[in-house]
Amino acid sequence: MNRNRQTSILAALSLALTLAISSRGFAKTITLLNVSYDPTRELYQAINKAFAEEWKQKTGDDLVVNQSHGGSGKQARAVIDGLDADIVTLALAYDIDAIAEKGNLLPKDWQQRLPNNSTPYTSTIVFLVRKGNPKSIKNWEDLIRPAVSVIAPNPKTSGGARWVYLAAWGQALKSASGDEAKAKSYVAELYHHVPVLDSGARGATTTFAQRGIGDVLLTWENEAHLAMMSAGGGTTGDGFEIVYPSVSILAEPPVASIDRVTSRHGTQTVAEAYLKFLYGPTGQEIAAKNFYRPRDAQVAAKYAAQFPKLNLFTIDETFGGWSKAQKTHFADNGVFDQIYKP
Amino acid sequence: MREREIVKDVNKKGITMKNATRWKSWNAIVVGFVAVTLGGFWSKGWSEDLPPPGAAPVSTVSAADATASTASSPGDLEQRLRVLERKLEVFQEDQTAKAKESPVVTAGKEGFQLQSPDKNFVLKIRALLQADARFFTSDPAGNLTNQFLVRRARPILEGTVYQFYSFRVTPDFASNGKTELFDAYVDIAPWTFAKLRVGKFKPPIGLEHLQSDEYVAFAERGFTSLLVPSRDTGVQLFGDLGKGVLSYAAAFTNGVGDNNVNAATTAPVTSDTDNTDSKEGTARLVVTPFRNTSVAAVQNIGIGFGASYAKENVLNPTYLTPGQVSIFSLLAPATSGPAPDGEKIRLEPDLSYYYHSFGATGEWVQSSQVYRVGSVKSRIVNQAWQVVTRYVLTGEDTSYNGVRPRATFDPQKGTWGAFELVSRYGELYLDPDNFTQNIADPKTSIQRGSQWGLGLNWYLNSSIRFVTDYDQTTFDKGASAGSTFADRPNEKIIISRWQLLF
Repeated sequence: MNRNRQTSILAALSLALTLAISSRGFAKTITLLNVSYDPTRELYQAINKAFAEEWKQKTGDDLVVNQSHGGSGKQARAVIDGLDADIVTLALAYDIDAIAEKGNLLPKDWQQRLPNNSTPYTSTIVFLVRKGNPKSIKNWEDLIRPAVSVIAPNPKTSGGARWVYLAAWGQALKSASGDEAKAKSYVAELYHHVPVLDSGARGATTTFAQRGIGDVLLTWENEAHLAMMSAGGGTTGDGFEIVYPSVSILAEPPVASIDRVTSRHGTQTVAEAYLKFLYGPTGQEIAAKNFYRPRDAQVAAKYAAQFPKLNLFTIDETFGGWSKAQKTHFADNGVFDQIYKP
Repeated sequence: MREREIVKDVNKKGITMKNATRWKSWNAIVVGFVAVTLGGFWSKGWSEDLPPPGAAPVSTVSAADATASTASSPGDLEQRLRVLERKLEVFQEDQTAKAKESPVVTAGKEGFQLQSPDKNFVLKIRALLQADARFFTSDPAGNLTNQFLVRRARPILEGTVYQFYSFRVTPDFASNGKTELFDAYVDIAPWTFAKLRVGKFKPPIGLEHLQSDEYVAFAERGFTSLLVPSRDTGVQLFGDLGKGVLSYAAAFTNGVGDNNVNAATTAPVTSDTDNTDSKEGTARLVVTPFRNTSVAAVQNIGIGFGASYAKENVLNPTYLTPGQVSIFSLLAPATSGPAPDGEKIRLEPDLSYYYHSFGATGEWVQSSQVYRVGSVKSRIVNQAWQVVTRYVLTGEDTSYNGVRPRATFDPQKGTWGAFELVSRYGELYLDPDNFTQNIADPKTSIQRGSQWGLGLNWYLNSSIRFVTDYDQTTFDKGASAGSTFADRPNEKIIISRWQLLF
C-alpha cells in the first residue's frame, strides 16, 4: 500500500468517524413536563405520542413528555410551589391565572397568546344515568325530584366540580329569567340530593360507576363517554346512558407554557410547538376521539354526530369571568359554603 | 342516628336470609363502625362550621339520605349501605391526602421532631444535660472544692431545609456561669463526598475532642484534647470517599488557642469576634481501610491524621486537669509580652479500634506556638498522648458513637441496661522553654503531667447514662515552696455524672 492510499483511507475513516460523532451530537433527547388535571390522562397519552413522532420527524430529536395529573387547583399550587412544569393544561383559566399572579411564572395576559383564549378544545357538563334511565332524568329540573340521588364532586376541591356547579347555577338563572335567589335555591336543593361529595371528578365517576351509588352523575362530557366505554364492568354490571340537558355550560380548559421554566430548560420552542399541535388537525382529531369538542370546524363537522348541539353559555357572559365566579361562589364563606352543609 | 336507623330497619323489616347473605360480612362491620363512630365525628370531619357548645347539632342528613331512610325495600337499604361505605372510603381518602400534606410530629428517644411529608424540612429539638458530683479524695493544700455542678446544659436545635441544607445551634447555659454559643453552623450537603459547613464548629483535629460530649469514655476528656481548639468559626469542606473508607475535612477559620471556644484575643473573650486578620487552616484525614470487608475483626480499624497551621496572635491556651483546675498560666505581662506571636502548628496522628464490646483509641498531639517576650521570640512545643480502652460488660457493641443498651433499665423486668468499663493513661509535656524563656509562671504551671483513670459507665437506656470515674494525676512542678519551685500535689478525684441526652 503506498503512502497516498494510506493517507486517503485514514482521511476517509476520520471523516466517517467525525460524521458519526457529529450526527450523534446533533440529535438530542428533550423532556417536557405537562401538568394537567385528572380526566385528561388518556387524551394526553395520545397527544404526547403523536407529537413526539411529529417532532422527531421535523427535528430528529427524541421527545419525552412526562405527565402529571391531579386536581386542577392542586396542580396549580404545585407549579407555584416549584413543580417544574413546561406546560400546564388545566381545567380552569382561574388556576393558570393563579400561576401567573402568585407564581409570576408567565405573563398575566397568557390567555391572549393562543387562539380561542388558549383553549384548543372545549367540553361541557352532561348527565350520566343508568341504562334505561330508570328515573327518567331528562333535564336539570329532574335532578331535584324526590328520591333522585345525584353524584357530583366537591366544588371546593375540584375544577370539574366547579364547572358542574356553575352549569347548574347558570341554567337555573336562565330558566328563572335572571332571578339569583331562585338559582341559589335550585342549586342548594340540588346539592341536598348529593349523598357523597367526592373530592374530584374521577372520584365521583368511581362512586357512580364502580360503587353503584346514585341515579345520575353530573360530569364532563368526555368523562361520561369514558365511563360509557368501560361500562358493562363495575360492581353493578349496569351500563350507562348519556343524557344531554337542554342547556349547559361551555367548559373551556386552557393550556399554556410556563415561560420561566421553559427558558430555564431551554424548551420554549418545543413547548410552543406542542401547544400549537393541539390546535392542528392531528391534535384536534385526537381531542375529538377522546370526546373533547374540537375547535377546528372541519374536525368538528367530522365528529358532529358524537357531539349533540346544545345551548351552551359561557363563564364570561353568565358569571363575569372566572375570578368573579371564584370569589362569589367558591371562596371561603362564598355561596357554596352558604348553601351546602354536609 | 341515621346509621342506627338502618340497622333497626334491617331488624324490624325482617330481611330475608337470601337478601341478608348478599351482604358481605365486612359490610356489617362497616355499618357498625359507621353507626358508632361516624355519627359523632362525621360532621366534624366534613364541616369547618362546627356549632358552638350547647347549640343544636347540625343535621348531617341530606334529602337523598332522608328519603332513603324511610324506604323499606332491600334495594334502597343496599343503596344506603353503599353510600355509607363510600362516605367512609372518601373520608379515608381525604384523611390519607391530608396526612400526606400534614407535617409529621414524632417524639421518642431521638428527641422531638417535626417533619414535612416530603422530608425536605425537618426540625429536631434535643437536649444534653450533665449534672456532676466532683469530689477530690486528696487535698493537702486545702484549696480544692468538692462540689455538685451542672457541667453542661445545652438545648440542641437541629434541622433540615430544602433537603440538602441542615443546621445545628447549640448554646450552653452552664459554661462557668455564663451562656456561651458552642455550635452554630449550616451544612450544605448535596453529595456525601463534598459537603460544606459554615459557622461555628469543632475544627477537624483531635480524635477524642471530635467525639461528641455524650459519647466520650470519661466524664472529662484527657490531656490530648487540651492541645486542640474546642470550637472555631469559619468554613469547612468535608466528605466521605470510597463508601466511607476515606473521610476528609479541611477548615479555614479565625483561629483560636488550645482548648478555647472563642477567637477573641482581648476582652470579652467570650466573643466570637476575631481581632486579627490572619486565619487558621485545619485538615484531617481518616482511613478505615477494611471498613467494607466482611471481616468484622478489622472493619473498625481507623487511622487518622490531623494538622493545623496559623501565623497569628492566637489566644493563649487553657490547660486544665480532670478536676477542671488550671495547670498553666502565662507570666503577668511586664512591658512587652509574653504573648503568642508567630506560627502556630498542630500535628495529631491517631488510631482507633472497635470490635464488638471492646474499643481502644490512642492519639498523640503536638501543639507548637511562637511566643514573644520583649524582642525575643521562642518556639514553644507542647505535647500530649493518651490511650483509652473501653469494654462493655453486658455484651453490647461499643463504637465511636457510644453504646446502645440492648435492654433498658427496668428492675421489674430484671433488665439493667448496659455497663461499660473504661480506662485511660496519658501524659502531658509542656516545653521547658516555657520557663527558661519567661513565658509561663512556674509557680502555677506544670512541666509534666501523668494521668491514669478508671471508670464505669451505666447506660440505663439510650438517653440516660451514669458515669463514675476515678482519675489520678501526678505533676512535675506547678507549685512553689517558699522561694523554690515544687511539684504540684497529685490530683485524685472521683467524678460522678448523670447525663441526659435525647
